[in-house]
Amino acid sequence: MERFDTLASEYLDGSLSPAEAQELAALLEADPERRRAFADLVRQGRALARVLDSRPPEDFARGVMKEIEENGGPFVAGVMGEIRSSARPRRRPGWTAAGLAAAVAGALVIWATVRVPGSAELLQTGPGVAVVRGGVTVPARPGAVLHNGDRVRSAGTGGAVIGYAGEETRLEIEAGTELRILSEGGRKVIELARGEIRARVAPQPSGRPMLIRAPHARAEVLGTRLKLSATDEATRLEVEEGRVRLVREEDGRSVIVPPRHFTLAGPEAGLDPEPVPPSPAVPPRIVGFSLIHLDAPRRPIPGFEDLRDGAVLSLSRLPTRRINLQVHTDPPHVGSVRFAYRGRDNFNTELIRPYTLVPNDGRRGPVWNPEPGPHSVTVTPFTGTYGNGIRGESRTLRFTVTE
Amino acid sequence: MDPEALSDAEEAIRRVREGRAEAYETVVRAFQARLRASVAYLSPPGVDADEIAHRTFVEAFRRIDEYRPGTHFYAWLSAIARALVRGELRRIRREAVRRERYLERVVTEAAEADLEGGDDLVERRVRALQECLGRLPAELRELLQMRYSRDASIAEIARRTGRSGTAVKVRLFDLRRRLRDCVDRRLAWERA
Repeated sequence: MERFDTLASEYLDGSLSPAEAQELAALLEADPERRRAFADLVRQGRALARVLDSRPPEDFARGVMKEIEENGGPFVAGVMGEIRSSARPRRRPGWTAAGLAAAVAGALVIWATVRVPGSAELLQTGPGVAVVRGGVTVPARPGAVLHNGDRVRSAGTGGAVIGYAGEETRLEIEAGTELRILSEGGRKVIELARGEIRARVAPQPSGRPMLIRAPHARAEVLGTRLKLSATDEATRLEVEEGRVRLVREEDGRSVIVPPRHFTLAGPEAGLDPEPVPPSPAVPPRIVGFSLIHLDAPRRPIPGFEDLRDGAVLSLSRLPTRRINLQVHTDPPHVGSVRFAYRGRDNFNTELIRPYTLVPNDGRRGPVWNPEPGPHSVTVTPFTGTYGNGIRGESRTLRFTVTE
Repeated sequence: MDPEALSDAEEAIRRVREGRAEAYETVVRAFQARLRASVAYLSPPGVDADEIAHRTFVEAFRRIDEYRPGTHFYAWLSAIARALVRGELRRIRREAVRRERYLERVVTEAAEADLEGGDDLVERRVRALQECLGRLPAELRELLQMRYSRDASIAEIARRTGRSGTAVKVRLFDLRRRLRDCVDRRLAWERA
């Protein structure tokens, strides 16, 4: 036998000394063919142990069945309940308040009795809600169990509500939201790609807080009520009850956000929590428009700080073609600002200052290339995020672009 | 797997999908040998292959409504198993960065390459291994049975067979190498 054969044989028989292990490693490092032979022999040995296994196959099968049975009546009942319910047609409830309430009550009864503890489920769905599983869109019906990795998209005008079996955790998904449901080591994880969710999170097991990941930050939630919004520009966390730890992805800095406070994480946002401003008694207003540099520091372009109706933008005379349109509000911070432009009522909705026509934080996002000719932008402020809360008066800016 | 057993398994899957959980035991029995062998082949030392096979069956039960009857159940099962193995390989790889774990790393890297190499590569290797085993003389097969199935030590095998420990080691290593060569030849023949 060659030295390699001897050492490999000792390894396979479990009698290789540490010094011999070093020697074998050196031989393998020097020769790819020996590495392949060694790996084949080790793996062949492991397969042989199964291929030649003389134990009755029932032992293994019974072990699997035992776990399925011991994991709970809830485990088996949950899976079986899901299978049975998916086998028969469901009556889809309407999206009216009364119908919705009945649907939630009905869904909760089913959910509380047959679902696997901790599994996520769609409790309500509005128009335009879709669940994407492994690249395939599956029906988003109330009562549908969500699997690990499922994406929930709310593209239409309706939202959705997700619940978790065995606890009172609820996620309300606003229209225009996309998220992914995950479970990592028994911990509930939500990946919020964009949009807004309102969460009421029941107390989670110690050491396994619920995790909500957004593009700029992640929130660790042990049990609270919160609102989390995500755009390309920033992640906004507002805490209603309890405390939530928010970690900024960019630098790992974290803050604890106390009740009735909010914070923003993003390239242009500080992380320090601020009190949630009381809802104003008067509606917010649009008080002005500016043309700004698209790139940081995104300052107004001289001569275009206060754009008025009928303004002319001569592109060749601007110091840069990378421009954006900013609106100013009273009060300076509002819940959201919606832009109607190019025939679209909701061309863009901004959540944080500066409120700009194009959702570009100066580092990523689309670029505004206005074509020569007349343009019209109508802007509406709201006290709440995503067009919620009190609606302020819309204001339209008409301007002409020339080369 | 013979067509009758396959038909029984499909029938059992249909019953499970109708809500009869107890029928799942038939499904496990039908596919367990094949799955356990394939998972074992992919699993480096430090990974409990049977545990992964066990978790695969439990996960498949949990997702049984995703399976489309009449399609390839074993391929679906195998995809779940590969995903679980892949996670274990990542863990082993992280732990095996140190020099003293180099031997494990070699095996882990080979398994990762196999996972990248296609769905049925491991299946074909295990099938070829079974065929090569079937062609061994009974005496040699018994030697492997003692070592691998009954987990007898070299000293124990030497005592039972009346040979020296060194002779048993040499014979076992020779057998292992013959099997590996046989598997390689069969796979080369299949490719040709």
